[in-house]
Amino acid sequence: MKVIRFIISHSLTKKYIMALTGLFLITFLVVHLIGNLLLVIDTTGAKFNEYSSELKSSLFIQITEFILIFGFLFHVTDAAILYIKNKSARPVKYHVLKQGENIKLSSNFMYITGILILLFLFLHLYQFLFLGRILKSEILMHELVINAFKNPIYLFIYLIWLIFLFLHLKHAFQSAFQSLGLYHKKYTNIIKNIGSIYSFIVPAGFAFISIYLYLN
Amino acid sequence: MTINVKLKIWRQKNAQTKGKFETYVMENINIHLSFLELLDELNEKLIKNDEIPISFSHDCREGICGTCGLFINGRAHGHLRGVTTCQLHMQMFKDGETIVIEPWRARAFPVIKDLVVDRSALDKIIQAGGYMSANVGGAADADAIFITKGIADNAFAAAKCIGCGACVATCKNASAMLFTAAKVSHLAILPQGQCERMRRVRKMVDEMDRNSFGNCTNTYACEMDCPKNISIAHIARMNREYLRSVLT
Repeated sequence: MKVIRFIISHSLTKKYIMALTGLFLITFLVVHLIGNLLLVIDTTGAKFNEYSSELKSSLFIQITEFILIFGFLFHVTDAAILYIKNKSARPVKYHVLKQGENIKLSSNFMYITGILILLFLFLHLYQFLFLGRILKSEILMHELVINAFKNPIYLFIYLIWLIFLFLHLKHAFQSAFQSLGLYHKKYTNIIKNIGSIYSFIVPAGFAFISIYLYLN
Repeated sequence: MTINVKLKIWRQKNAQTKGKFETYVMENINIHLSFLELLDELNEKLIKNDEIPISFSHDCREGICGTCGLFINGRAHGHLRGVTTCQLHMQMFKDGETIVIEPWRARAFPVIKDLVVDRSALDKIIQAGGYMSANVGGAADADAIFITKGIADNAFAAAKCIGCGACVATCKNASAMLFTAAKVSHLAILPQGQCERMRRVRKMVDEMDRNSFGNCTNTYACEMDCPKNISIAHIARMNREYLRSVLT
């Protein structure tokens, strides 16, 4: 409790938590994307089903998932606390504010993209985690995924969601390093470039898989 | 060459009353006037008409004191990079333009009158730790400790902060991170600042947190509007310094 109170009451500790949980989620997305690539590699779905049943039974994965859920909750709760504090720091708004001139679009809308990502995530978790894992239905994961992405409405929402994910990641990647104090005149540009590539490739990879499944 | 401009200026009698915008038309303005000289001319006009002149902070009028600070057309110190309000000249504005002038807006900077705000929250951050307790001697004594040009330049880049509060004003979260970071960074880089390094960052950041400033969300708007071009690299250094002080 003492540690949590310390984290909540200090501005920089909240930044560290945001960055660390964010980097954890960034790593998770890569693992998730690699797993999903099995859907394209083996169109029969056998490998993907094998992979998904392995996920269900592995203790290591279960522990990691537990950390992932906590990491995610920390990330969202921390964002909510920061949002309230930041909004209250300027009670009287400017009449004219040209934020577009000095702020990049992605960094200005982190809260909005975050909320939109969170909203669709509920549907995503219901569709795959709840129906496929918790209910322990007879339908195999591959079939569940195919059924979902064959629905053009679901696919459309999913693709829009990925655009928001792209915008969120675009700012998040370098920002996490900055929050942890990792700034260097030589390496920051490299981190920024990796961030730009990552934020495009990961959502594009998910988009490619979903469109591929829809067309085949 | 002269231009005509329309000024929309925030007027507020005192901290307790609610303010509102008043519009003033200024004709045949010499483009070589500084922005503060424009306000001086307007005030002369108001005094002649037996009206109350506009209050605004100013002192050196050469960009080194940090006293002047106005939110002009949606940007801190106007749209020009690396200048204070007093260094902004009327040639940067178009003929017939409407210029909206507001005070710095932040919970930590309450409006005293019209365009004047109370920036003592920044002083409190300095009082918390932005100094050295030990006697480090005079300028000649500093020369006795050898440092590289890189260290000297880096410390000076942070020391250039004039404490105008533009970073707080322009930040969407009204965060004072760039100001605090510049002060922390300046002393953390130099050998004279080493003995109080850990204590300093903790005290200054904690004081910043107590003064209703928002949190940094790395939008980097502060860096864009800082009249002294202070880099966000100093915020990263403060983040490192604080992390080190928490962990050790």
